[in-house]
Amino acid sequence: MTAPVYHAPRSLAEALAVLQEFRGAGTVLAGGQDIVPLMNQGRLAPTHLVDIARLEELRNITEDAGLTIGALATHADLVRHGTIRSHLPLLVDAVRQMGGGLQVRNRGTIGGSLCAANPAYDLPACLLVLDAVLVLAGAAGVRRVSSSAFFLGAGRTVRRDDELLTAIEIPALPTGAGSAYVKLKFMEGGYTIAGAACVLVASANGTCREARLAVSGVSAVPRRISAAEAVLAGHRVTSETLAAVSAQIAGTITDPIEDVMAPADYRREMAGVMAARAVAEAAAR
Amino acid sequence: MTERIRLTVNGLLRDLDVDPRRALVHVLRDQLGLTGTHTGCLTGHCGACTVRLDGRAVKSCTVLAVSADGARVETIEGVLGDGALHPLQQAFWDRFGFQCGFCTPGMIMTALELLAEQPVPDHAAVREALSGNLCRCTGYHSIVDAVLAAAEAMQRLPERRPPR
Amino acid sequence: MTGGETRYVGRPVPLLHGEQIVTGRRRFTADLTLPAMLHLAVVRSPHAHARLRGIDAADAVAEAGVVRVITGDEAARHIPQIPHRVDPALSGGRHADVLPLARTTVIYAGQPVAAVVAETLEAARQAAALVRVTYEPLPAVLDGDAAARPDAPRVIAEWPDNILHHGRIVHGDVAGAFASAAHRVEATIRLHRCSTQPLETRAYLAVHNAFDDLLTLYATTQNPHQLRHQLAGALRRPENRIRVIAPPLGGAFGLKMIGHPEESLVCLLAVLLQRPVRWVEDREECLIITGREQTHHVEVACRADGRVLAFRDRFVANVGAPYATPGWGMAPLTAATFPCGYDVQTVDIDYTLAVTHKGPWTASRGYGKEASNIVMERVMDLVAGRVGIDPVEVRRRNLIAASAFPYATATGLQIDSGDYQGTLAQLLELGEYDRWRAEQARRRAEGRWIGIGLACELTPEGGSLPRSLVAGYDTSTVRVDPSGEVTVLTGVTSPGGGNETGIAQIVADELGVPPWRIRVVQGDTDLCPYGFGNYSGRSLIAGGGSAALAARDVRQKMARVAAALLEAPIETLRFADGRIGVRDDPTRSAGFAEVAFAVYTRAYELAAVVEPPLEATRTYRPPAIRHTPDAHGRLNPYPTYSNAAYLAVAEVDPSTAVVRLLHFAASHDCGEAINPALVEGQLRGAIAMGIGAVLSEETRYAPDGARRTTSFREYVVPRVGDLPPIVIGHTRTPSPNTIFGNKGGGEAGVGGAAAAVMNAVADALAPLGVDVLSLPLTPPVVWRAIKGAGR
Repeated sequence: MTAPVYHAPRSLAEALAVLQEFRGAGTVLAGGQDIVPLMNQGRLAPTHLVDIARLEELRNITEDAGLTIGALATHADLVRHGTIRSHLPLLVDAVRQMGGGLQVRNRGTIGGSLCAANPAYDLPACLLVLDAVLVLAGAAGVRRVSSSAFFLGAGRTVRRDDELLTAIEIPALPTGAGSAYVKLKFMEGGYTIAGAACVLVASANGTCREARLAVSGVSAVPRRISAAEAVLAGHRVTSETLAAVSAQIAGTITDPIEDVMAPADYRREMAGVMAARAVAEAAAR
Repeated sequence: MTERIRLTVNGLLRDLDVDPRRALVHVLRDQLGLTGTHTGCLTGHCGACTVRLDGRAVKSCTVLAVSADGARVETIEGVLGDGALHPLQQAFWDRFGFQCGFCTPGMIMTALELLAEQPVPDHAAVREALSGNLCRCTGYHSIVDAVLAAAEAMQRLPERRPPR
Repeated sequence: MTGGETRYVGRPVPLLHGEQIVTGRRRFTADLTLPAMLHLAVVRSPHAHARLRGIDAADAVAEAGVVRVITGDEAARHIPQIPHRVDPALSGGRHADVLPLARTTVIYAGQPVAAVVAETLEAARQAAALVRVTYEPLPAVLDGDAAARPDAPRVIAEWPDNILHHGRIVHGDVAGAFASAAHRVEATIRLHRCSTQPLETRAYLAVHNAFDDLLTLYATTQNPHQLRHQLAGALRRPENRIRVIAPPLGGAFGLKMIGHPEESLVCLLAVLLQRPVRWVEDREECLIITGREQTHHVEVACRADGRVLAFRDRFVANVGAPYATPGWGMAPLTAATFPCGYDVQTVDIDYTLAVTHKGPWTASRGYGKEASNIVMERVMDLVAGRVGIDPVEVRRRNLIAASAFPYATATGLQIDSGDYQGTLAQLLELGEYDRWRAEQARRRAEGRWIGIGLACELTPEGGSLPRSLVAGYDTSTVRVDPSGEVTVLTGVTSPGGGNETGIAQIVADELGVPPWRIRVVQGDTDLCPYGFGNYSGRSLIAGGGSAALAARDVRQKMARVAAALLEAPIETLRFADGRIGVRDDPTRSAGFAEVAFAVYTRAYELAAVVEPPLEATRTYRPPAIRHTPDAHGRLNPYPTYSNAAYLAVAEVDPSTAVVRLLHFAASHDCGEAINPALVEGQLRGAIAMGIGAVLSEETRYAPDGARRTTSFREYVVPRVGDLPPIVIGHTRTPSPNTIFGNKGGGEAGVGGAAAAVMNAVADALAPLGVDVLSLPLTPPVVWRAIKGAGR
């Protein structure tokens, strides 16, 4: 691996200009939690490293109608943010169940986590159930992509190589919404085997007015499982509906990941188990 | 081709020429001779390379040195006060918080952040904070013990140094 | 003259070099640099089995900063082969030449095929990636049982089959015992492939001083003197022109025993290039090395009351590719350790070591004895289940009685002392066994899957192999300077467990000076007396013992001079607090330094009674080791035996099959403990390793033999949150075969904890009709077993 050319742009415009100039050859570096280990192992050999960590404006978390999280907000920033703690507990769940300890929380960014598109990462599924919109800035301007359309495959997103993910826009949840992220990993140091993110909005009569459910870790991309959401909509959360949710999930996952950590059939079933647990937890909240 | 960076390492300003591929841990160890920070995996799993970067614990094998340009870095070598061991260091020693000692600098640097954020942590908080640090010798029991003992000792001491 | 007073031995003295450790000043091997040092990167085969068709290093050589690229043919001209640490051929097994770099055939994934030396590590790694190796991949033999079959494709073309070694231990009337037994319990128990993975990986730094023709190697090694011997053979250089220095280790657990190809490769390049060369292993490389995979076909004959009459085992150990480290030696010791701490005199143990294309075995903490304990403890639970008695009761009925020691086992081991019933009793109380059984009943009624697992554990300590450089004795020098400072130079080394502190405690008591004033030097073949390093819990037995003897000789010299100085009878003298004085007469004493100085300076008058200088070198050779066969042709390689008992409480999540440990207790007897805190610390670490070995650690391969475990992502070791609270107690039956009655520590815990957890999971799943006979017990494995039982 030859040494890359290192760029440390001071502004978003400068960063985009660099990416445009070296189109196809620029690797974006934020917290480095994904990229640097790959470089250390000789598995990634960037020709141009575009270090965006100094773009402080991308680190802000602002409250508007909803919440806009800058792409460079760290996992620790998420966990510390008052509104996230009170209104979006599933994000706190996701961070707290991440492996890697304090250090990864301090350094890892939400943007980096999303753009890595690692099937075992937790935040993508959370964004799906929040109907989050991802803001991409490029030379041609700014475009918005729904989180459900953002992920194309393991390690692949719709972000073009002359674009930067700058922010994640999360619409406000309806009042009375509960959310949770529950995942399965083996031992503290394990990576996600299967995880589920859930947002439930309750009606006055205790049934689910709205149910949103997404699964992580099981397929190449995180997915909303509308069939399972349909099971919940208009119903109470009971052990029967939870069992139906699990069954729907397991039935929908047609291409579960098989790897050295877990076989495909186990993952498929665990997706259902985690989904039921996420729904139960969201309901409790 | 190298990049010139400036780091403040344990309070001292250092100008360095670094290969852009080089992780911060290698610059600290090989270019600054600060070998107290160790490498156990180079993939960000083991935590033996933990240092504090602008006051936050990070795994220095996951940080490119070029990314750290302009930052304040604290390593285990900087923890010693004016001739006296920091209460964490003393507690690790008194409580047998190590055997081979390879993971110890990383454990201490992580614990420093925990105690800065939570001066009186409970058992669960210590376990959560150290979840990114591996030890293969001790089974962790005495490490948790040492951190709790240090917290207690620090509560009893008058303020000895400015907050980090 | 009165003996040394006990002030430090037996006390939890904090590690003497603790300040070094907590300030980051402890210098590990990878921390060392030398002027003009070069960096080595190794090119490794991705294939488990392949013919090497060619190597094109042109692009690598052309890279900036590259000084040399070396391949197998050139390396073989200098190093025809690496001598085995313990050659299997010497005990009836087969020999395979082990080369530092492959020449024509690659036999395991990760095997070195070329090496690059460059000015920087980045340049070396970059160039290594540019070395073009042409492989012709071949089918890989991975399964040990399959490899052991006579018609299996061969790993070593020159061998008639894949059997590295085979042995059988038979004692007593096995057929008769089975014929008369009320029950015959059979099981196939599989242990999986693990790796002990210390946090510090290996590193070697070699430098050749051409003026003095002295080659110095700094190495992460447990056995510096034996490494020196091996390098002399590999490099064909005189042993006394090689110096090996073992800096402090960041854990070893057997992985840092000698025979690795990089050891001699680094030395060769330092000699060829006339510059220091350093290699630091990365984690991906460290995970190439493995241990422990074997399949046991066990049969036990027992009476209706659960009393075991005979033990039969036929096992196949998958030792991976032939390698020069002593990993293969674990399997014969697994055989010899059966039937562990149980009074069963009729055995038939047949063991086969099969080579395959998996990663080579190196010694793994427990060195085979932990495997015996895992298998035996599972079997005892199966016996209990068959005859319908409590697992506690089956053990009570079979454990060797306290009155039976010294006890000769069926395999020839001479167990010196123990109170196995007492250890078990303490465990049950400490671990609140009855309360947990009640708790289990309560939770089972709620539909929860909760199990309690017990395990007794026998750990032979201080091992030796006949006619080899794996010895049971060791040597120390104690030296007092004219200024009264004390230095101990010893042949034992430390893997990081703190034995140098224990040695200092011993010498401190003998000489009456505090341990923190004593400098202990280990690991340097030029400075230390010939020794055997660390393995098998030997350091405080042989190293501590020899240091005590040497210190006593020094004390005797000083006492004779002090007696003359003080004009007092020698038997009235007392060594304490840095002074030598007349007991009960504070007016008559001399300083320790004063007496030391006198030995050196008054050799022709007052001190003429002793021979200067003030130092002594003594060897401790523990008794009871037997290297001459007895009437049955058996040997006893161990002087002493520790024991323990463990209790684990596990809950299995019915939905995810995740095993969670709720509670863990241990009762451990290592005789006298020189430093109880160090012993307990090592026990806790070993327990964590045993838990990890059962629940998550595994080295895996693809069907073609490619490696699938290359980082801590796949090789999952326990973290702080994975371990339950662990309660530890101690019982104490001193050894009559060591100077202090200490039995050694460091290995106990791995096998016993693994066995207790395995039994706990089995107990949790028993109501479902699930058999638990294979490791590991990762959630997908447990899940499939539950499905298979139809629940």
